[in-house]
Amino acid sequence: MDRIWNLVATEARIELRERFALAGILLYVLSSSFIVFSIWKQLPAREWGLTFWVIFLFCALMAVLKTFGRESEGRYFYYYTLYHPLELFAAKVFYNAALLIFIFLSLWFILFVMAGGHMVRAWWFFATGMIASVGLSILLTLISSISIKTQQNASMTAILALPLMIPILINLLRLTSYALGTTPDQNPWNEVTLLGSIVSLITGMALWLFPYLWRS
Amino acid sequence: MKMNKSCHIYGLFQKTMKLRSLFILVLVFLVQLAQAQQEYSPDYMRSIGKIYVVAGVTLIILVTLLIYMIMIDRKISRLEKRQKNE
Amino acid sequence: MQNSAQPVKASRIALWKWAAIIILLYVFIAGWIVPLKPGIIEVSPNKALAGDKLVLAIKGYNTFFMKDPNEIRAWLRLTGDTVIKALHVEVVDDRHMRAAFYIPSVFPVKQDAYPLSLVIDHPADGSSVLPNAVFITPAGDPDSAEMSLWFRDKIDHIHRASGVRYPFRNILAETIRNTYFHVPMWFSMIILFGISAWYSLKYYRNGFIRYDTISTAFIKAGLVFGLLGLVTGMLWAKNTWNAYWSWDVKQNMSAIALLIYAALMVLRTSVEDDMQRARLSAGYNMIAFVLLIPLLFIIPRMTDSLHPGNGGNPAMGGEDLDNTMRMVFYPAVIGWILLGIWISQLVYRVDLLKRNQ
Repeated sequence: MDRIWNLVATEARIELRERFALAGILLYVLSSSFIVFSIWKQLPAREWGLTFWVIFLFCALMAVLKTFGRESEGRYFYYYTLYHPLELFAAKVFYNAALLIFIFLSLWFILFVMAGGHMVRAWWFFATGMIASVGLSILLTLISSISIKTQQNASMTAILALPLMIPILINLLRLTSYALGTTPDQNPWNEVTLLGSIVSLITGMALWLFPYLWRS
Repeated sequence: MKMNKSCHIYGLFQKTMKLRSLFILVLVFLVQLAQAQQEYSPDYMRSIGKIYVVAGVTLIILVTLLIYMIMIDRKISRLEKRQKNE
Repeated sequence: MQNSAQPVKASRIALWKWAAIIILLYVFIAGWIVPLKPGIIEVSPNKALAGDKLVLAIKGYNTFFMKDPNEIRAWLRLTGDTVIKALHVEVVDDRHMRAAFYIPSVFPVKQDAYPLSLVIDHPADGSSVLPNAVFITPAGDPDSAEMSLWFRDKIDHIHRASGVRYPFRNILAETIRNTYFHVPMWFSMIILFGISAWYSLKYYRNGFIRYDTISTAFIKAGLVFGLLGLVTGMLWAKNTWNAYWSWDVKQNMSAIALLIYAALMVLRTSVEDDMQRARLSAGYNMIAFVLLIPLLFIIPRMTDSLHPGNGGNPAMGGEDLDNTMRMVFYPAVIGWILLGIWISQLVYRVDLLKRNQ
């Protein structure tokens, strides 16, 4: 666990050394929500939720894209001798999850300022965001470990990840509509169970396949 | 202008004579089919208990599988030719 | 190869391929030739006023009204046993008849409009139903004495159509036959993708590049079948649900499934190294297949759908598939799956040749 933590810290240090990296993501969030808002002018509750997740999706793709691209191949070889692949994977996932939670919170704040809250069950939305961040960071880390090995890294990540994200996204939208109160009588636990099982499915696959996909 | 375009397609057709041209043909065919359908449908498609829908579905499956088989066939002949040259 | 020194063995077609051919022939013949049960296509007028006499012109499908015209009975049904019987029935020809009703001015339940189903019973054709045949608008001055009219008659002594026939469903009509052509496409696709995932697993275990070629061949064939399922489904949907794409869950989910596998094929083209490509696509293939299960089997069941088998509707059972249809549907599924495996095998053999050159 300590070793994983070390890796996460290294990761964060590398990221923060280029100061514009984090600010860049924030700027991306800000400008895309600005574009969407200037198109919609006003966001009713339902559209608010849709907009939120569309922006979140693309920001998450953007942010996670460079997970494995940030460092040179030599360093990965070094890591490979030093750490178990799963440790590396866990570190990347933790770091990415933190990044996605950061995106989630800042996007929520920005949309809150721009278009109002609309929240009926804010805690539910918060929980949704947490599940989304963790689930998507696992999926996206796994996918970007595949796509880093291909020629067109950036577009490959999007192509591979987007269709796989849709089942998660559908459930996120349902939970969001519950949090926004747009679907009145709905039992959210169905969606939570489904989402949880999809995420744990992905986690299982990732833990199983990452060491295999990683070695080259 | 139109002439040029058709020449370009013809050149492509001659040059590669591969899947690409086949795809173009299929696409053109499908577009024409869709247009033709728009003219007649829904009255035509829905006459006689919508039997033409079944005909369409069967036809789509058969034609697609046929085209797929032709594609495999071409691949095989290309491989055979290459093998002969070796 | 001019110098065919070694004797070429007469190639035989394997038994299961013959089985595929015979089964599919049976499916095509039985699927096309067996007629539908008689049914009602439409009635006119489809709107009427309560407390008035109503003469319905009824258009039948596959019916033989001229046979025993005096035995035909007709009812308009509100719910369960609340029915009114036709005063008299007049047959025009085999396909057309007229039935006269008196619609009572009061109703046992209170609604803005009353949809009535038409039920016809005929000794030869059996009984047929047209749901929501006529919409009745309430009368201005209801006469409560007429309430008893609703409970005077009962639908009884119903005849059953004899012979081997497919059921008649109103919106579907003849397109019920698509069950043997459209639905098995999806079955085949899932089976082919499953076999492909199985070979990916084998590649993961042993690392023989042959397994990668096999798994790819199954994906290619599965994509063709999936695409066929999608296109045929769209044509069917246009003529039953009135739109090529209704944003139905099952439509969306199957399109997404195709996207995932198309992405896999794109992934394969963008990796140069053979081993690398095989490993990446084996990994992605297994992830994709595991995610396919919630996509195709769990999420559609949790949402309302136009497809049968979703949103609480019974799946391939109950009303949707009667015994006659089962006798064609199950062979159809097996036949199309066998054909899919056959095609995959062809693709595999071509790919193998290409690899070896």
